[in-house]
Amino acid sequence: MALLNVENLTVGYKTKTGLLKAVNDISFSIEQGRSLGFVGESGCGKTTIGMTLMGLLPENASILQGDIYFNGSNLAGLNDKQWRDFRGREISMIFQAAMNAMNPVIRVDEQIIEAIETHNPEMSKTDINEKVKTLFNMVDIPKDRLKDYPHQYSGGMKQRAIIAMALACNPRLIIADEPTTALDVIVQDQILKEIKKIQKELNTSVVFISHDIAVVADVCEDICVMYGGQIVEKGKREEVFKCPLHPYTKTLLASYLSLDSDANIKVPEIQKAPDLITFNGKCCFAGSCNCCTAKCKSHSPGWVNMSETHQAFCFEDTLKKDNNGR
Amino acid sequence: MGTRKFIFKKIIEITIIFFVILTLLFFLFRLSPGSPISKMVDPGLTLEDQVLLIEQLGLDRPAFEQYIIYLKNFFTGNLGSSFHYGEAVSSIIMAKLPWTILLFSLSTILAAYAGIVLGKISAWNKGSALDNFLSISALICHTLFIPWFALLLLWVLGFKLGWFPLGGVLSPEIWITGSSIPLKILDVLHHMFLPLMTLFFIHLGSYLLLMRSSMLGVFKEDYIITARAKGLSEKVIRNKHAAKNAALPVLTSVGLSLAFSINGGALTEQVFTWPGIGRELIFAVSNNDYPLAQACFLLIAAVVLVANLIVDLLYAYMDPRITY
Amino acid sequence: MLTKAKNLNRNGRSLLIVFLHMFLVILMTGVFFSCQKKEEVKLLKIGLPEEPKSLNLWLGTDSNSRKILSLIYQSLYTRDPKTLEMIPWLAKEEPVFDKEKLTYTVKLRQAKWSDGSEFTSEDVLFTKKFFFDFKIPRYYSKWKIIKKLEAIDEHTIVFHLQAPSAIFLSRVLTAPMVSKKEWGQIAVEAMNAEKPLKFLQDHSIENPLGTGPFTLFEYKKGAYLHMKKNSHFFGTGKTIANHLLGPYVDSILFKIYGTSDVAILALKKGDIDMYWWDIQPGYLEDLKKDPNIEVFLNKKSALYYMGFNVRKPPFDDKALRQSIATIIDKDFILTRILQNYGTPMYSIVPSGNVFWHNPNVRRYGEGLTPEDHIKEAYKILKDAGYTWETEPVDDNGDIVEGKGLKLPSGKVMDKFVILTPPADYDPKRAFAGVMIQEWMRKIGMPVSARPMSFNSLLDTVKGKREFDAFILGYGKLNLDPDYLRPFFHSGYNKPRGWNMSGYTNPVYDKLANEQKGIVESKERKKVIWEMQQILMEDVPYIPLYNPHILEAVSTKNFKGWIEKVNGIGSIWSLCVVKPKN
Repeated sequence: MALLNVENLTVGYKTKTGLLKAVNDISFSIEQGRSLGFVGESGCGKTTIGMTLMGLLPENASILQGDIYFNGSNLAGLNDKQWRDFRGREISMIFQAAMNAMNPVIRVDEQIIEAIETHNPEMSKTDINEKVKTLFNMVDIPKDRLKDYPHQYSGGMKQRAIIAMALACNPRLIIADEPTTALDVIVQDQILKEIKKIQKELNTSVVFISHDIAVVADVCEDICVMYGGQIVEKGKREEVFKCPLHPYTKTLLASYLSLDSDANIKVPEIQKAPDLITFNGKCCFAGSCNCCTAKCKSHSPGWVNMSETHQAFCFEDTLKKDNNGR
Repeated sequence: MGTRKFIFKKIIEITIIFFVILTLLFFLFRLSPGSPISKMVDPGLTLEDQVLLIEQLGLDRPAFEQYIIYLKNFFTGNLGSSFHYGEAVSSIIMAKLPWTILLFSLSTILAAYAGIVLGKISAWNKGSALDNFLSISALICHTLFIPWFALLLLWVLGFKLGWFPLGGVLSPEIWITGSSIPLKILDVLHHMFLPLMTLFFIHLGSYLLLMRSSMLGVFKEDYIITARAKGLSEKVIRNKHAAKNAALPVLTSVGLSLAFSINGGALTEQVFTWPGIGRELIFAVSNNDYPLAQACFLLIAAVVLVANLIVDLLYAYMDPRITY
Repeated sequence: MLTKAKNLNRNGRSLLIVFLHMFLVILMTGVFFSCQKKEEVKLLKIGLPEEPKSLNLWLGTDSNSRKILSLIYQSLYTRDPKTLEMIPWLAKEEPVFDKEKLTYTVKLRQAKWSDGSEFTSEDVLFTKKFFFDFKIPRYYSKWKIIKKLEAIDEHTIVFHLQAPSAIFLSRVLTAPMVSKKEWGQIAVEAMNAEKPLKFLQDHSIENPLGTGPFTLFEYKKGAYLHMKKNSHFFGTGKTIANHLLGPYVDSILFKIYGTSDVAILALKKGDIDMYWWDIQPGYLEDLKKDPNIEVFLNKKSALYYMGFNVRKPPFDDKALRQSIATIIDKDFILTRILQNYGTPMYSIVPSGNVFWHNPNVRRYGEGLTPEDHIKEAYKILKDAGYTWETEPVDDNGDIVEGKGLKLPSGKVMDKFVILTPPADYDPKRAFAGVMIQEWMRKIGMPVSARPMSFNSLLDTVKGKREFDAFILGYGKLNLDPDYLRPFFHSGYNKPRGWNMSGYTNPVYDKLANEQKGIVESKERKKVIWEMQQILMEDVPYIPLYNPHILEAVSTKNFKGWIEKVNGIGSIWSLCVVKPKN
């Protein structure tokens, strides 16, 4: 049984101009111990998925339809108290360290201690402190830095502390939202190795959200490509990378410049951002797709299966056309 | 090490500023129209008596000479003799200052505490009926006309209901009949209640509103989302994470507002006949009592300077990002 | 939503609980205290508007200090509260005046200081030497006239004067007597100090020796003054000035109240038995309704007037001043500004001072209708050669708005200013200024009344002497009219001198000096009356009004307040007031 099973989830934001569907009828699942990456440009809805899975949607957002089955419970129907129980314990989040993710006036170890305390009220103080030390060990932060304040940490150290905080209660699922953005490549590499290591050691599932496809490819076994609030392609890492199906995926991969390719570097034009409010009954990529047909503009696409695990959200004919075109 | 050096540097700074203020005050007072002698309207005083008095009070020497004498005296703790009372200024201040400090510090602490707590609650429940009530009340408190409010409290609680005395710092009836010390202390507290309440409400408003807006700003911070993500209870997030950060600017404001609260205190002291420095200042200025008025203003300057130093240090203590 | 509500309730609740506790504790103490107040009926509680400036006899010249000091230090002679005549006090009887030798022989009463020691001529001699050695302000200038003072025996002294003095009894023998025992040593130390007078003024005595009905027991600065009955008071049990003197109270407690509002609340509540200060007429209606409050109305020996700068043209023209005196409607001032609590004044000496007041002087504007005020003022100016752009009285004899007054020289009158105290200091004077401005404008005078802070006003008028006109007053004028001399004698026309208007009249000067030396009061009265006549002809000052003094007492515990000039607050009241049961 999958750890997490999302079915037909739609999340909308109430804005001045109307209802904005940030996530539109998506479905996916993760097994325990596996990592799933969400990749796409800004505004495609991947962060919203992360927030929805944590129950941290802002006031004006809500789940319009769909279910989120997690370990037997439906997260879509939880109340505040239940969410507080879940958060940090069953599901936790790794934020961008570049943000002000840690409280500047509280010591780092204290912030981890409270994560543990709040879900384990019976645990003794010594045990908690031991746990903290273990966590720091796991993320390779020296023990003498425990009592420091966040502003005394470097970017990489902060990220690792945040990771430690997310691991504090041994969650089943970790959601990592752009954890390596704003870190330099060397540190980025360290962090990614860290995440992979932890995942293996603790058998945690990871939902990895990033706009950087290379990073996602490094860490995640499965990938979902998102555009305009919808998943346009999902499959195993190798499948998606070696044979991208959806025109958008192809464009995304093509825009990524590879050092060892001496082919003509063709940088595609800047895509027009999809209109998340008014479109319905057509493909969301229709405006920018270079193999768009009349059908694409008038009908909602469906899932085209390449293999058991690899699918694209498009029309058969359009895909064929695209393949022929290359 | 850095902190010690910082304190030392600050103290030197403060001392210099203090003496600049001292000099400015000295000469400013001399330039004001009207002299102490003109206040003596008694026809019984002949011309010769007046000349004698001028001589006695040293008002016949040139201003600069008076200044040097003043400085010399200042360092020996001699702040001159009040023209009006005839006593040493330092003894007058020593007698009145403790009362003002008592009233002020208590009301400021209470108001800051209540303002922070209520502002915290108000911001947390933004938009609710409670928030609206607290915010509007705070605004009203902030704009209250002090003498009116003080008199109102006095009239309702002191006169109509008779629960509290009509001013003063103690009941002579209790003190002249040789009561015990605890009773005397209770008596003073009993008298202090109304002026304390007045100052409390006046200051509560601004602290509450400040804390509220500070909290609202903090809510947008990322570490609040992190705290939520950890599954912490609302109360913990509000008190430990949000309030702690939001309280910092409020503290600074408390230090700065001390200077402005002095005149509010003077009006309150007048209505409640609280024998503090504020009242003395009013009298001294209207009587052109140079030495006393000067000393009172100096005192205010010193208080403000020291208060700001303390706020600086407190801020560094509370916000680990600030180091000296 | 619900959880949020629960959270705030918890916090709000804890705060509320804390406050409630505080409140309850203090409420209980309040109840407890109010129970305590029932005893001590022989304790008289008096409210004061301000703290006494100083209880040092040489420094405490403000009215509140004098209230306290007057109960401690006594003089040889004092005034009868009813007849206002000089009567013996520490002295035993009337002094014996020897006209040729210019001596006054005074016999002293058997009296004791508050520590039981005898009051003797030694003390009087010491006091005189004290005044002379230190040139004590207020007293030395009066006592200077004493050539020699000798003690015949323990209770007889003889004053030898340099010249006959009319004010000997009223101004010299009313000086306070001090104890040689107490001040002797202090005097010696003071003589050696750099500033002897200052030394004296800085010196404070905790329980001063006095011959009065009360002694200072405790002075808690900022809180209260506790005075106790002096068991050695010479007046106890004696009938002086038709009053059987006590005091009948054991203690007096003086409490300070910062504002009149609070003091009156205290009076109503019973916290004080008497408020020793003038009350504004506005409170009267409310106080009269209270069955426990009695209100007293008394005359004051005061003078509120408009003065001119006689040195500065055109105010050197008598006609101009007379016309201004005519245009002022004193009845209006009485009814509207004083609300009928007072009397209009027609001479520099108040009408209440019956013996010295001259009622036959020229009484400007008395009994005139508003139109007549204008017509008469107009006539005076016209006869003196003034002209107008538009005359205030036209050819038909109707009143119009006068414009553009021109001096006899033909020059248009310059704008001028009447300085008044600010309204928050004295609303009566400020308002009077505004009304006078309006009346003067009706006859075309370019005038404006300008309020000025009191200190600056005094400095401008007395110090710098650059002004046109002003409105000032003397709240406590001495009952002896000798002040007519420093007010108007040309010798006092100098910076900080009392002759603020700059009035110079050699005839008047002569009379002023003359009256000072006339001992026989009936003879002196003739001169004083003549001086008033001259003054009201020349009007360097226009007397305006004399307000009554309004005071209130609580009738719950005490009775027997004595009404006299300047109010019920006096040593007489305090010696006679009795507890009600």
